[in-house]
Amino acid sequence: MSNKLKKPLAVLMASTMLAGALSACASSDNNTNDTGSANEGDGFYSAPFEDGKYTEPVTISTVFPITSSIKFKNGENIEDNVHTRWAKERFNIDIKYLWTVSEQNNAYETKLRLMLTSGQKMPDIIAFRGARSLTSDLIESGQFADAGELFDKYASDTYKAAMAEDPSVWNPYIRDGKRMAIPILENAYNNDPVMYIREDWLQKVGLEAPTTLDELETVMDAFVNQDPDGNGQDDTIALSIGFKNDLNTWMSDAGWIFGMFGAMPNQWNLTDEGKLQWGTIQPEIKEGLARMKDWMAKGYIDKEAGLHDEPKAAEAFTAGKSGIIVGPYWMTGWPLPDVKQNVPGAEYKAYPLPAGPDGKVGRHGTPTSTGAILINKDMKNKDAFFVYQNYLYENWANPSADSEFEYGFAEGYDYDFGPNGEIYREQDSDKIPGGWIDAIRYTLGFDGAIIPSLRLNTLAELADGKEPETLYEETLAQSIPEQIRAAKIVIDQKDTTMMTMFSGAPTKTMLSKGDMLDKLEKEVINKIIYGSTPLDDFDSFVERYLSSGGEDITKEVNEWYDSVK
Amino acid sequence: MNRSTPPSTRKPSSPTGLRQRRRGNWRRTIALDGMVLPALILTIIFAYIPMVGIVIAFQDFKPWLGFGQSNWVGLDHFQYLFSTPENLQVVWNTLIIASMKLVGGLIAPLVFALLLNEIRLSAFKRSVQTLVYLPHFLSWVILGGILLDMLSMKGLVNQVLVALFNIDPIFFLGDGNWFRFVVVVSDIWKEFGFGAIIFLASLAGINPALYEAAEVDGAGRWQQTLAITIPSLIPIMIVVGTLSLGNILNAGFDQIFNLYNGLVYDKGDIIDTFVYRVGLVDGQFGFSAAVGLFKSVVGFVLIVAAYRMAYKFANYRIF
Repeated sequence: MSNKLKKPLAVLMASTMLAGALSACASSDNNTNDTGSANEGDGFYSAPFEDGKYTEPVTISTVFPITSSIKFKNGENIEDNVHTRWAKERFNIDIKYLWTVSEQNNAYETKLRLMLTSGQKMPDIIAFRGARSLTSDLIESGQFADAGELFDKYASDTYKAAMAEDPSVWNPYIRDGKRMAIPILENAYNNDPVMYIREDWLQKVGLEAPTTLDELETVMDAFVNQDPDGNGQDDTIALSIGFKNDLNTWMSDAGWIFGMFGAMPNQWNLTDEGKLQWGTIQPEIKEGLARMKDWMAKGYIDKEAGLHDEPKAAEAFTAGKSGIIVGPYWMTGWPLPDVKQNVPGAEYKAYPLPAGPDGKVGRHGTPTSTGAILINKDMKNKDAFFVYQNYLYENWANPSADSEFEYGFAEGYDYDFGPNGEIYREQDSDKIPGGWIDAIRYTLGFDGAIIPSLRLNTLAELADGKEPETLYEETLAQSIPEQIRAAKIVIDQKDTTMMTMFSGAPTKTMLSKGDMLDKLEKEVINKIIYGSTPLDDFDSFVERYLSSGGEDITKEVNEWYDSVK
Repeated sequence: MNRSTPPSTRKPSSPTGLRQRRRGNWRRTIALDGMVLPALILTIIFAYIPMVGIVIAFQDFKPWLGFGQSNWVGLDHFQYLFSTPENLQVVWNTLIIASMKLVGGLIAPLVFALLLNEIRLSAFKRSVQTLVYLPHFLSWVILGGILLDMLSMKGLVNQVLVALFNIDPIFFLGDGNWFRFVVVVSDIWKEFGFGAIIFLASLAGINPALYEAAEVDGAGRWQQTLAITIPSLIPIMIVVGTLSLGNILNAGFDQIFNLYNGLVYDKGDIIDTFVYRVGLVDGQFGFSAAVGLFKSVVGFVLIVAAYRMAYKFANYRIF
């Protein structure tokens, strides 16, 4: 078929297909504000600005996903609520929602995609957490401004310091050296693992908590063979791991086993030569696999660990059939407390991850950003977003006693006062008229403003006996004691974190060969651990992996890495 | 007697008569035709118009470029599907699992319906029927979890097997061959009760006079089953069989997805789970559309073939 013919046909098809979908979208009237000419005097504010607010109303248009955790009361909705009124009152900013969508089955992502494919005019800012490919596509559409430049110009010191904690958060959004979106920051170390051990089992077998691999194997052997649960049956396992999905995973993690040898599977590691390499094919993995194979044969890990996903593997621990599990500090809230209900007298404690034969400890890290804010290059008052976000960073992220957010975002929403001045919070939801509402979730960046390291660092300081001073600290001090202890261990071992170094959009070969390679990897790793293929098959697996696309992917990933570093 | 009547005597003698009769028919059926119209429009909107989207099977489809701007790649996706051994293995797995399910899914309900039909105690018959079709309504997400426990090394099934036969526990979900077996058997167990309903309905429709006549001739239950019941069920068996042939490349996404794992990828990964990972997780819409198109074409060809064969050999028209 000639090109002449193809195009009209395709256009016709496309328009037929999209016609229905598009009519459903809100019409795109890009509402520019009517503040008149910008105040060009000082070059900072684009509109007259006095005493922390604009003297004329300024508009920010955006779009918003209403997730299931977002609740409203008093007949409010996302267009008109305590947050929008606050923004109007505090800064004279009108937040205008072009459309909102109830976030189910990725509806927000779909709607954004439709907006993009149909060529509608984009809102002033888009905040999006999710598939990196969509953020990439949005950036490639060319409708968004160099956000990094704006950030350098307008962001406050606190905001900048929070962003500087891990400069690699910008990496996914760098195009030709320009930072095209502002990362949305989240709590750091949140999913970094620690090791939980059944304290009563340790006492029963008369051993100390392991600090090295050898000690760990001694403890595991005792947990399996010395009947630690005392029921007279050989029915215990030592270590709960579940690698149905990945070895390196969020709960019931096995990544640290390889960390002891200096590599982390299922992620892109930085090698000594300064190149990125896919962790699972690094030679160190073979040593970790040898251990896991041995442990599987000796019954230290469940025979069905390869069939179990993360929660399923944790069940053995909470049922009192397993003595060790590795996972994030928040596991002390869920699901670990279940073991105390299931087994009377059960005690568990968090411990640092053990060191390998060469004294190495390694754990996977937690990305401090999973989304970003894009700023339209045609946005009229680009400074308005920063006025808003700076304020949240100064006053919300770590509120001092004189902050308007000392107790929460808004009285009557996420806190309230009782008749005698006592403070009602989430747990007193029934005492707050209309119930407890987490109003900070209405904000443009979804969670207000987060300083990544603050939460875990504060918990660690509290664990060291620091007296809570700010309200933020007081709130955290009420956490489960074991959680504070686990958080301290996470911080103590923070130098062992191995971050995944690739955060770009999936590369060309990843898209075309990724699934095949992933399947090959899972199959071989599983079979080696289960002993159905010999350990030395790992070498031929690496060769095959590289030759059937792995090499191209490594090249593409390193090209990306060179472009951002 | 010559059974073939000359065609001319049955047809209206003149063109005018034909036209009149057609017009008459049209008048009589216009209300009925009108009732079909909404369904027809919906089918066109939701089934036929979206078929235009098939073009993306021949494109390097990028959602933000749409059909119009995406690059055409011709048959590249199909070539990739059939040239890599891993992908071919997936097609084979699908065929093997689906055809075992198809055969089992036809025989099990039939045998069950025949057996249940012999029961005279109607209260017992009805409660059994209800009980066996209940699993049909359970989601595979739930059943997957139950099976994972039941079939585990220390699970109920292995406990019974070890106690009875004194064998080593079987790693049902971690061994490729056992995995296929589990997938097929659990699917049959889940669906046979529901499948039996249609057979029970047609059993109830068999003329009792036939059985009475057979009894007079001295036929026993077994002979009656062979000579009357089974031949009467053949048309419905053909219908069920033909329709399920269209599913020859549907090996059951939700079931496999909830049960499979790295140990059984080589024997258990099917087209649908593959398309899910490549298309939805990795966002390769063009390739997954090509695989989907391949599936539909095979299903369509098989249905047409089965339909023709049923007409030719069993002299039975389904549609």
